[in-house]
Amino acid sequence: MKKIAYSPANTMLHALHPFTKFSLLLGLSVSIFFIDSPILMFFLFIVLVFGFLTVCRNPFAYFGMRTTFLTALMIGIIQCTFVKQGSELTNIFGLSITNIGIQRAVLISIRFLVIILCSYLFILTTSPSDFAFAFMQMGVPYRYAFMIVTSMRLVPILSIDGERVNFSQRLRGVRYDFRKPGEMILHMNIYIGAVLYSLINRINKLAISMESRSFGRYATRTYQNPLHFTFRDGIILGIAFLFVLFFYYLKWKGFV
Amino acid sequence: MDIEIAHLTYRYKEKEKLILDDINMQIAGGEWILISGCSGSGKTTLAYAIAGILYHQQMGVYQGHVRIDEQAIEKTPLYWISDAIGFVQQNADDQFCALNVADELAFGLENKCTDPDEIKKRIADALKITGAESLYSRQLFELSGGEKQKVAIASILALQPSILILDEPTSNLDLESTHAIFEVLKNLQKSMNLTVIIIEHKVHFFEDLFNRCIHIENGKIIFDGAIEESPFYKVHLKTKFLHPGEKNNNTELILSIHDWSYENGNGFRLEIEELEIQHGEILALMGANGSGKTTFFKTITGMVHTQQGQMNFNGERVEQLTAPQIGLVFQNADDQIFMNTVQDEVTYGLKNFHMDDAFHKEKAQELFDHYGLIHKLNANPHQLSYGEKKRLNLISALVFSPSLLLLDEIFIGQDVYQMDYILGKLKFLRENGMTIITAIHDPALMKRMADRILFLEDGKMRFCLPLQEAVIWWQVNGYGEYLPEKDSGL
Repeated sequence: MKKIAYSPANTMLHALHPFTKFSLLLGLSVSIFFIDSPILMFFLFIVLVFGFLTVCRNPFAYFGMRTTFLTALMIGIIQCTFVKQGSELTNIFGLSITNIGIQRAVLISIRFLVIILCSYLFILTTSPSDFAFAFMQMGVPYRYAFMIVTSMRLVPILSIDGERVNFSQRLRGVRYDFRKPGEMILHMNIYIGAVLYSLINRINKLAISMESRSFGRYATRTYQNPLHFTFRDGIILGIAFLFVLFFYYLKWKGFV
Repeated sequence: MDIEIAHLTYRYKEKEKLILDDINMQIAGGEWILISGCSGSGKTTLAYAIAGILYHQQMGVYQGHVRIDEQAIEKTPLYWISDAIGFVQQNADDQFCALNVADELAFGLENKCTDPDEIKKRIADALKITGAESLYSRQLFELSGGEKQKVAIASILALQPSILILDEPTSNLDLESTHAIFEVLKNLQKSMNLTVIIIEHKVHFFEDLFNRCIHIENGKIIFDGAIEESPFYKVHLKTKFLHPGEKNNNTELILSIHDWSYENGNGFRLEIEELEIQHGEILALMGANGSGKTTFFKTITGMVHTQQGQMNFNGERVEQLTAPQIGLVFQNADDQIFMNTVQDEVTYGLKNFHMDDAFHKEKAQELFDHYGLIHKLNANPHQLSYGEKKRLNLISALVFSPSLLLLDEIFIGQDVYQMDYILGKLKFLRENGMTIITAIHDPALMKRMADRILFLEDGKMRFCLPLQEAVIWWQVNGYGEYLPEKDSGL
């Protein structure tokens, strides 16, 4: 199993400007809450699955993918079970399953999947430093934009440190027992203190490393592979914008 | 570029012990200097001072001056000092700012607003000198320890500094990677006119490269001269163990493992077909970086779960080995320090195991006395020296009288005196019947202490043989770097 992280490749999605991808991600994440048609939702889902398959052959090789689909399934089951509106299609052990229940189940579980898959696709195809650069192009000072890169660098390290501290505690007889809240708070306190100590040490070393390599010397910086907002980015953003307009027009007319 | 250090004194707080004590020295451009000294003697602090980091961190009381070509580094912002000085940190992971090799190499140059074409050229040059061309398109987390160190050095060389400072660049590396770094430095000496300052314990590896050696003790320079004249670099380990053929007759098994396998999901698989360990043995766990030594410890202690296998401890089948029957000491001492005083650090475990009775408290006092920490019971553990922290880790594990002690690379970053001290203590423990499994890199240590060698390669157990037979296996199969006859670097 692999962790969801940027995976370099030569696909069209990789080649898009991070700003384009980020706009699509934001636009889709907001618009999706206005889609009430399960068919349209399913169409979007299929498009995303194709997007995924161009980036990786087996999406289930990533950590969290199975959990995502299982969660979507659970959401669907809950919707089917508890939505009582509409006409009853069948009755299982006293629980009536209605047509609206099934519609809501498909709609909400696929909506959940689309949002998660979109974010995953963005992470898989966007280098954090390119993302930081895109922010800089948008006028955000690179010191702030670079926080994305440094936090992505530190998060896995912090998680390893946390595991190690937790294991060291277990070796010293620590058991997190919910029946003894006082003891549990004490152990958690000690755990957080040890992880924070380690984190501060690492941040200090990272800061030294960055500053002693001229970070912050100028208000701007160059990039080895500067990104350009291409004609293709413009076309894709334009099409997406027109698509959204068309969708709202159909919605206004009551077609979807 | 010349470096001048004048009356440099440093301490963490007023009236506290001096970390650097009136350091005065001159370094001429193009010199290659080796800084040696015990753990905690002030070597890294001196390197930080030369690189300008110590002053600009503003975390202690700093007096004196460091000048680079007459320019005081105290008056120069850190981000400008990098034009003259490149600093390679001890742990490459601490130095990395990016997520992949290409971005890491470009990081400093991009900050200096270097033209993209020039960035590419400088990166290509730096990769060529370090022999790391093939790593350019890799992700940093995929690299081995040696590869990471090469990238760390290349990322500094790309900035074209005149002075290169390396803080124990090989301390976390296996023998093969240490040799690779030696080759990088050799190549550097031939191809670039740099001033190089290296802090290193494995002096023998690098002696041919350096014409001057500075030895530091308690923050003072006590030797500054030609390396071959230094009375300090030819110090060898003194402690020697009697091997079990001569000493230990207890053939009962403490631990046996059958068909043991674990897969981490990233293509790494640990496989141990059959392993039996007797009471009172010292087993050296050897193998290159990434061969599975730490993973082996993780699997037997239940930190990660094996997919298959059976383990017996003292004749009983167990799923995992747990404290207090076993003790485990990690490579990084800070990972096992939680409390605010040395005493609390040890009593924390005792309380958790409900073993804070008079017997164990007395045992803790004996251990504090035996390991030289009896006068520091109220000290903050994080303020102890590196060697003292390691001793505190050992006390925290030994206070439960475990029958099996697991040591994960605890000799890393230790000077020869500290190593000898710990070896002496391990010898004492073994004579008292304790079984020890210790992950190590150095053949000299292996020769001194190991009864048998468990050799791992790419996650697979190649053999578990007595020392002499292991040496023959390595000789026959062409693993020359593991032979104890070879210069150990200690």
